[in-house]
Amino acid sequence: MNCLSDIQRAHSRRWFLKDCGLGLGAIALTSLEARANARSGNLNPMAPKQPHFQGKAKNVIFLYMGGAPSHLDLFDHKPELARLNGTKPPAELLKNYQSAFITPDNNLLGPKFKFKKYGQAGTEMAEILPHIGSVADDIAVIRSMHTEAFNHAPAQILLSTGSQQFGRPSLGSWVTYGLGCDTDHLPAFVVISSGSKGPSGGNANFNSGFLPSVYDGVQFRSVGDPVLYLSNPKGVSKSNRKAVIDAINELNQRHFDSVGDPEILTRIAAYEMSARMQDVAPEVTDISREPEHIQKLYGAEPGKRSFANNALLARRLVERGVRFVELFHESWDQHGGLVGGLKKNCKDVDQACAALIKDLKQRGMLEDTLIVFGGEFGRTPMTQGGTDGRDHHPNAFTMWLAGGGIKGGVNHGKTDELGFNAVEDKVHIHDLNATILNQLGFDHEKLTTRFQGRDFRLTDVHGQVIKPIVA
Amino acid sequence: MRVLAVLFLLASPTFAKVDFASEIQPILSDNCYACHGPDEESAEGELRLDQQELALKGGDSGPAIVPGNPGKSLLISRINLPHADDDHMPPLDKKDALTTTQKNLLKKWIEEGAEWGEHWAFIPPVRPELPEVENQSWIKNEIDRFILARLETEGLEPSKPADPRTLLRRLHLDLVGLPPSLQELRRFQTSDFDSQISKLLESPHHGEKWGREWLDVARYADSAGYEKDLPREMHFYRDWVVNALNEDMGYDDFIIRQIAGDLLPNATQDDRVATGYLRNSMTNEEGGAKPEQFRIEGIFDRVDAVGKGILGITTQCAQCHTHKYDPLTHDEYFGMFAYLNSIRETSTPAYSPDEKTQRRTIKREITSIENQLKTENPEWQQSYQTWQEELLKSPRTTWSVQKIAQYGDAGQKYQNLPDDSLINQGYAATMMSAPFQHQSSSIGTIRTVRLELLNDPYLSLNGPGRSMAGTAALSEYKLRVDGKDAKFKTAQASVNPPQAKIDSKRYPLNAKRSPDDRTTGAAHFAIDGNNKTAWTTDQGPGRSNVPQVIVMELEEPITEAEKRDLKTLLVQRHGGFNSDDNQTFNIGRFRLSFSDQTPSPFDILPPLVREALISKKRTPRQEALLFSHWRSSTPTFASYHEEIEKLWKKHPTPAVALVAGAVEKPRVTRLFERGEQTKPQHQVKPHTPAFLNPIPKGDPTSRLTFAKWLVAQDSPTTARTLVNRIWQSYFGTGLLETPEDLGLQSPRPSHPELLDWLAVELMENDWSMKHIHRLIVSSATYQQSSAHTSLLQEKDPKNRLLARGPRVRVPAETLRDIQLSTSQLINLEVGGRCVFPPAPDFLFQKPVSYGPKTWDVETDSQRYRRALYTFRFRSVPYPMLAVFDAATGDAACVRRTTSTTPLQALTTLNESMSVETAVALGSRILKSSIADAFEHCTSRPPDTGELDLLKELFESQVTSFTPESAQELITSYKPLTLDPSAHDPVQLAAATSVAQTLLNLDETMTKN
Repeated sequence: MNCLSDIQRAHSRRWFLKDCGLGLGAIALTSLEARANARSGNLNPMAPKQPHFQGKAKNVIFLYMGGAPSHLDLFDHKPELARLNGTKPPAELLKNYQSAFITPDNNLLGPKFKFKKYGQAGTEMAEILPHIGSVADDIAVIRSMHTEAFNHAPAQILLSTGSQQFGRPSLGSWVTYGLGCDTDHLPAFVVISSGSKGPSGGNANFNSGFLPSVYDGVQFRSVGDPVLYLSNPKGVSKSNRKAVIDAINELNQRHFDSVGDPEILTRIAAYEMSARMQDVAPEVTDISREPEHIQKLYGAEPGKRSFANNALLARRLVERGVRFVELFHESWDQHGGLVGGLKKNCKDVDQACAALIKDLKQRGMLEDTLIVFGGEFGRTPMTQGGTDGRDHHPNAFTMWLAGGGIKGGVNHGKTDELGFNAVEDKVHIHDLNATILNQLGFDHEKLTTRFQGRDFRLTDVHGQVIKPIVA
Repeated sequence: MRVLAVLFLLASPTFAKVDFASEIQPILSDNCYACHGPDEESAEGELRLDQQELALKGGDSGPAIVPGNPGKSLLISRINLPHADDDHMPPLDKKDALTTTQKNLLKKWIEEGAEWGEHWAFIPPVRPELPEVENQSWIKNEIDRFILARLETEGLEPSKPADPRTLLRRLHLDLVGLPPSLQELRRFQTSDFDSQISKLLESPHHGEKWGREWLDVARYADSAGYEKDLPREMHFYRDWVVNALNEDMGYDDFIIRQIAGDLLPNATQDDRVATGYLRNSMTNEEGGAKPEQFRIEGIFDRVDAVGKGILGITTQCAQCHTHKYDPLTHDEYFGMFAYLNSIRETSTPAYSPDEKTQRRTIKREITSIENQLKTENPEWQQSYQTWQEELLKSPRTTWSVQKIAQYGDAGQKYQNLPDDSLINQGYAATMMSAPFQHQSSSIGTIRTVRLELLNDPYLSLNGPGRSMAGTAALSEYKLRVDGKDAKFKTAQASVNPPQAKIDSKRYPLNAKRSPDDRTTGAAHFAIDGNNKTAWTTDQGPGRSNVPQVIVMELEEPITEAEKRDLKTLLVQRHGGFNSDDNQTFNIGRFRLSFSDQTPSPFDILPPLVREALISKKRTPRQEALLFSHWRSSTPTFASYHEEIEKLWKKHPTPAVALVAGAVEKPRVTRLFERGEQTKPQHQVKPHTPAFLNPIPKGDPTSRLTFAKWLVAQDSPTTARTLVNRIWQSYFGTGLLETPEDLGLQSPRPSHPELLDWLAVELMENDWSMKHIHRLIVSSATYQQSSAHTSLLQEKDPKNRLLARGPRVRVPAETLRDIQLSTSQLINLEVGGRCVFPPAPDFLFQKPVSYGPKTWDVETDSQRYRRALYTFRFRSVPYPMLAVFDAATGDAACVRRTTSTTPLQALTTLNESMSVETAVALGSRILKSSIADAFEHCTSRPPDTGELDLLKELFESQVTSFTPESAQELITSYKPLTLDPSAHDPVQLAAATSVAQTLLNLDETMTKN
């Protein structure tokens, strides 16, 4: 949605009106513009901004496991569920329980994989997650996540925007709205998709809602043009293009001289930056430039569409100042084919997730890069279909965080013995969002924008920082 | 500096009396109402400051306000406490302390007697007196008096009039959304201005431009949203809006039809189509979604849209609790909800005028053939009569309706209805076997099974199937008896279409995969054991949406049926390839019966024919139906039948317009605690908020009365909301910055009297929007030059005082239309289906799109239709429009952002349609001149410097393109109408670069 208040609109118009030099390149500010800037402060909406307090994290990489991974088979070890495999779930659990597909009292289905204790913390995870297991001491696992929505699109929107109602700004938009961006030749908020489908919530997952549209997530691809319309038209060379942009900007400058609308300067800056983005983005997205051992670490294969490639790309983007990278991997909706599906998905993401942590760590970037891993809800302890599927389940699921001032080797929250309900240290999506903002230096109650006569925030009227996982 | 300081401050000069509404209420609302406002439940310390009586009474601590005595007023003492004091107000963890100015104002107000007043926007507008101005000669109409009076107060002067060309461009972009042509520019004289206004207001393109503005407000899109994001056919609604604006339908009428057109006496197709407004809400049809949950989400969306778009009131807060600022209670929210809760989400077949004529012709010709039959067969009456008598005498099977229920873990949901039929709502699988468990059989011996397929308004075009056309296909019917499938020997149905292949147009994504060897046809396909053949109800457009029946006789009767485990399987494998196809061919609503008798001819009559036959007093329609069934089933009339069938094949395919209908029995509305559906509380009757106008005459519970209430003459906010939004479109910002919110939290309008004057002017002129357009564009205010001066930049950078004309980037759609117009590719056809201009295919494929979507790029002049007609998927917005801030339609949008970003530059420089238009404009440059192209893009001729620069660019491009690279550019982006042999490729490529430059000029993209 592209609706916002007027103040924000004034900001958004001035995407690049930075202090001279940085955004405006060779174009000198006229005295009029300089005065305008001096009076109104820095109006560039993407200029780096100070949060409320010194945050631990500067950047976020959100590993969005769309479709909702099974906590019961991957992260939340439930021996009792294994023991009760094939029996009816206790009736009291099902009171007021709504399921999407199944008859709620379907038989219980035990975990499909063996669990192992990983790291010094002895974090329990499935044996099909050896790589994430190998960085267990760097991550904080939250096993007591819960949400309200139990259909994909609304639940994804809730995880992305803190609301099931469409039209709210996404987490990435809030973060870039609050922090701006350290690069002026790449978008601040980048979204890349892999997996078997696109995200159920569509573009609303990374939309700026009622924040200015400059805070929209920009979709990148690991194959072809990394950004939509990045390449010159076929047959148009770099020098052809340069001449055209020079001519556009020269004519715009002349027009500015006669009508004095500072908007024109903003447009000149945007055209300059588009040319820089054309130079920089292909280089950034070319993961074949990474040394072989790094490619190997991720399991990346340049030229392929894969989560591993996207993870490596995420690191390269963050390294170059992109504030928020969101990797959608929509592939986890195992109503059937649970075992096969999970094996495949773990093969696709396990190594790359761990590699991201290791790689950031060896570069000293893990401290200020917050990694979030998880999907929109969990899966039912009850079976769906035969004995190889699970339905949507909002009452309990697992997410994990790493870096960005999150304590490693932490196991937070518990579910009941069947993994049905989160029972101890429950964490709602609002709490997760409050924590993410906290790590970035924001009081989630104060990062607000005025819309429709009231101050909106990501966490609505909820949210508490999950203190025990914060270093 | 002095002028600057007071410019936007609300503070009056100290000698004037403090005004409650403009000076005090905003302070209270901003700082106090969150805890001491209309929401009783959260009133801290039992104190409310939103109403005079309650504020004077005070709360737990005593009277907050003692008129005339600030010293005794707790309000004053609390705000002046030291910050460290816990009792300081407002609490410092929630709000900042009040400023000294604010404190002084409050004190002065109480000293002056604490006179209360109502919020300006909640009092119906009255025509204000026209202000006196010095510079009379500047005034063109009343608008100018209000603007000039304020400018004179601020010591500013209006700008000189814009030059004629700028003015003509502005007028064209504002009234029709297209730039003026070279001819129009060159012919134009300032003295023609009035006739230009009339001409443009009468242009069919006026409705296109302003229709798009309304479509944002109406959250229009061409798909359903959420995960599946199914395509919709909403273009009849879009065209209705365009036509209504072209005809200058009064805004009151415009709203009434959109909210309750279906309830008007003798509602026409157009009136029903207009209620598409209510149906622009998203619908979630993902697997497992509960239809009722998302029906309610849809109503929340409607209340929000009506609030923001029509009333100018933000309602969303009151969905969960009484509004914190505005006097809108939680109950009142659900009072409005209740009007919209009794909507039936249904559809209507929509035909264009040509198609309507075609339909009439077909019907007439059928009647004439039938008459011919009668003339040529004078004995017809006798045979007809005999046929009826025999049928009526044929044995009547006794049917026993079975109670069955869906079982298993599938995502599609079948709901049991009171008549023991079942309906499939929400998610529709494309290929599935729907399993149903029977309650124990109500008869002991089963010989025959009957499946009735029933209509339902929920289903597309009334069903009985779930396909877009309301048709169904049953691949196989299975009755599982104690785990074993029973065998059937015959199947007879009320309709037996000839065997046909699956229509590849229906499932375009299938066609891309493998050849489809599935067929549909007559009844026996449902029991032939072959999933690739299906019985279908599809008889083509115009007659497929009637109930049907299929009757199947078992090889061996099932005995002791009541003791057996019975399951029904409806195997339906004739939909799209998989769920990604978003296409279903399933049965929508059905009922199952058993009989211990063998079927009779009576059983397989089409249900409507059967009704007609047994009816004691047939309607003419029933008589015609019966006759037509008889003649079609009489072999001797085969030749007539063939002729008639040929006519039916010519029947147009209607669009499925989503509309609102009324449910027979109003639904009971309950207030939801915290807005949560799972927490229904007390019942709420339809009613409107007390702080707004009273409900007009008529049934106070009717949606039609509600619609009339919205646009009643005494509505305080409706007319203001509209004229403010119109003003915003012309000037970039409304007279009130927040068109969605006229409530207590809204900022003060820049020209409150003008807002009221325009609102009254609208209402007193039959709500004519064209009247308002004419007033605005005829004003001297509008006609000023938009050039910035350092003085104005300093004093009024946002141009709220309007000492200059508007200078704003055009909306996304207008930008595309400018590209298409200046390149002369544009196809200015008005109305019709949506079009699919070029877009990168990967956007519509996984993993960018949730599932693959069909986007068949237009290969004829449809490619160049105005952007209004581009198909809009909610989940995958058309990238060129999205990057220039077009609304997605996910929720009502009354104000777009206007951003300037590098991604926009990449789009207009590299996006294929942008390049294609540049090639076309390049070709024009070669045929005429750079100067002409410049003039068409910017509406002014270039000066010598500009022209030289562009000529230099051309020359440099001629040298930097090679014949090969030039050829590549032209071949890759060749406009359909371009004859490449007409130009030297290098010349054309170089001219294309010049064209790209022109199309990317700030001036080209801007209403100057």
